[in-house]
Amino acid sequence: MVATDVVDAIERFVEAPSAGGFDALALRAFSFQFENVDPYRRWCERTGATPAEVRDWRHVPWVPASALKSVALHAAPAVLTFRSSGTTAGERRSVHHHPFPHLYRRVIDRSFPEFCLPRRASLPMLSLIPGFEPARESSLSFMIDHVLARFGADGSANVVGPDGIDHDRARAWLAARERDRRPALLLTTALALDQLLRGLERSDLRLGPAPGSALFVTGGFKTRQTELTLDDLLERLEDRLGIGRAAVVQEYGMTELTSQAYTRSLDGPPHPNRGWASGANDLFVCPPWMRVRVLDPISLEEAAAGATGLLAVFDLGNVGSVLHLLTEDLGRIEDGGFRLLGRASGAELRGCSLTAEELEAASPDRTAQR
Amino acid sequence: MSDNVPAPTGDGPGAAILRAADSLRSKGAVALRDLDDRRLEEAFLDTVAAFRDPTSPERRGVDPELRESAALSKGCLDASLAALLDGFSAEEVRRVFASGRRARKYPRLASAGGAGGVDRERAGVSPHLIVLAGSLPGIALAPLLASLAARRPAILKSSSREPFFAPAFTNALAAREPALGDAVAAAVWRGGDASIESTLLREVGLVVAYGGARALADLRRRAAPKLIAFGPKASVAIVAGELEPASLDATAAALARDVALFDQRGCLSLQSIYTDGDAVALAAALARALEEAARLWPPLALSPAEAGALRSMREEAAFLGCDVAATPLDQATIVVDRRALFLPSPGHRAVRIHPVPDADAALAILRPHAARVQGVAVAGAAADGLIDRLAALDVSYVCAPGELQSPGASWRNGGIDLVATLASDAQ
Repeated sequence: MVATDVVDAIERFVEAPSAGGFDALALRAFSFQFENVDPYRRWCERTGATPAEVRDWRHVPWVPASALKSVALHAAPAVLTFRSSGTTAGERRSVHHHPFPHLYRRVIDRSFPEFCLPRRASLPMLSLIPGFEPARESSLSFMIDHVLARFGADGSANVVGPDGIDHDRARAWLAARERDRRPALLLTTALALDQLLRGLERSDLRLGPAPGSALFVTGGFKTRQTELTLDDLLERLEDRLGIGRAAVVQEYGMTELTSQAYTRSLDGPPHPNRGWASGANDLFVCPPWMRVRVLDPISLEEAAAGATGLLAVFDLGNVGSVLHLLTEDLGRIEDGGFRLLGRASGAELRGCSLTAEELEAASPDRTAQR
Repeated sequence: MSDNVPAPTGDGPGAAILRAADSLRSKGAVALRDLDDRRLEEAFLDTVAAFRDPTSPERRGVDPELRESAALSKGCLDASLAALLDGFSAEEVRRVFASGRRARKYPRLASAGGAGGVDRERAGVSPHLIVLAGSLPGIALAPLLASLAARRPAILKSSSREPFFAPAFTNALAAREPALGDAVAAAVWRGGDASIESTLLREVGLVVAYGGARALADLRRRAAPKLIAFGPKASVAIVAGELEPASLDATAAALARDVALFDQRGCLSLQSIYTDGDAVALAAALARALEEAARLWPPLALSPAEAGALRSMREEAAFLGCDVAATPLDQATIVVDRRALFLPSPGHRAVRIHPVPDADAALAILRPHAARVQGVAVAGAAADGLIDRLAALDVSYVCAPGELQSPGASWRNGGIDLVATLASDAQ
């Protein structure tokens, strides 16, 4: 199977999803990976699930996300190489060898405005996420650079320098939006937002971007030093920047994936089953080329709706690497979306034993540099 | 050093804790001075014996809460505490008190004001603060004993997750030797509560803290010069040289004990085994032994997060072509992993067995992580040759399989002479 054929087919589906198209395309992409990714083919053969046997994308063998710390999986020579965060010598980091960056950009082009741009209008954007040039192994930086270039209106800025967030520039930018009354979009990780808000709190400053401003937030809430809560962060956000919960969209993505899920669309009415007023504002929904299932960790069967389990993600955007990924994230299916419930490896009950997370955690935000 | 927050006043719990600290400062050293070692030893050993016996009134009074808070089954709690307390034998405890006498006689770090002596007692001696951030019962014993041997009053702060063992033990101790009621206090508050800790961290002598990286990082930020931190670590085993077929099952049973006690949540819990012998045979024997351990010392039901972490480990191993034992997920996970790694397990009795060409290869894997290695169990024909080489890596506890959870009261955790350190602090 020729790579351009299947990638072109996926790009066409991303551009114009058709009912029922996902299932056939998923099996075609599986055949392509089986032919072109040697370690994956051996895995499929060991498990007895080859393209000749598999008739349903749900039965396509998944790859555990942690295996990407040990094995290179790519269906064509990598053009970009993304690594999960971390800086210690000898640390095991996930590596995503990405052969098809144009597909990555197409995925962003189709999903980001759908979920994150009110009325799909270009907005001035302020990014608290490092740019791609200084962080060339970060898939998040790749995405945000593309978003700024493609959708950022005049005046958009990235205020992360070699020493982190330039708070003076960030405040000046936000103050300018308050003055010119232009709605803005703030792009940030949870931890970078916390840093910005701490700075404002220390100076007892409140800045109010224009009505219609919104926030895109991604990344984890825990560091080796601290643990944030979403509620606390959003409360402080509203207090300091005047951006309410209804204008916040969370993103679920990871180094090992190409596509992203989002908690809501700013481009239309809220999901009917997700009343923001009730506080049920953290259900993620996927774009049509990405499917998320929750698996019972004991049986690995699909969990009943409402039951907690491991997230398995099928991402057509990952045709160049791993289509079907078993993550270490916990979640549950609710009302047509999924709720993220943390990491399986971060089980709460602890003694004084060392965990892999502690051994490997050298960077404060796992997903900030995804 | 600490956030500047006004101390609580009135009758609230925060004020009571600060009053207790004041009382320890004014009365503690005098109370301890008037007790001779023999009385202290007897009180301590008698209390240890009471907590070693699951039928004692002391244990019956605290066990239901303890099982709940530590999340250990009755069988696992009994066996785990027995293993820990076996290390607090009369000989071991007397050795600790002897080291306390030496430390007081030759204080290493005495300042110009002098450590000990009448003037200091008149002015009061700051209690040491012992912070127990984890959920394992019994972790308080070693620092409590060290503080008593150093003749320094102590406040034991339990974690809110396991708030029962330390108060029960100190109450039982004070029931045997009432003067200790003026020298030791156990309390629980939310870690990081500035209304208490802002004052307390300033007032105490040293801060001895056990726990996870996040809790220790927070304490380091606020009390760095005073902090003696015992952070998270892992323990391993090296089986060097072939095992006699007859000893395979016995060695596996002993290794299973090192895995299963405290449900693999302690820093002395076995997480990885390196062997230059038959790793597959060892894995099979360990699987049998851990299934037996699950019968003797049952694990509790897995939460979805715990099951998810174990499942991820197994799926990764299967993808990489490792052998994964077919044990029930809630009993044990054993993987023969041919990668040369030091990799903590997700817990809940999950062990990686790494085949290595020889013991040198095992030491080479451990060397970059030596600061994270707490104990090493050694077995096999070449085990004796490893002891000095592990000591050279600063591994503070090397033992035979089955003994990891019983390091003894005189064990210098992390190589730190805690008794001498507590005795010589001049605050």
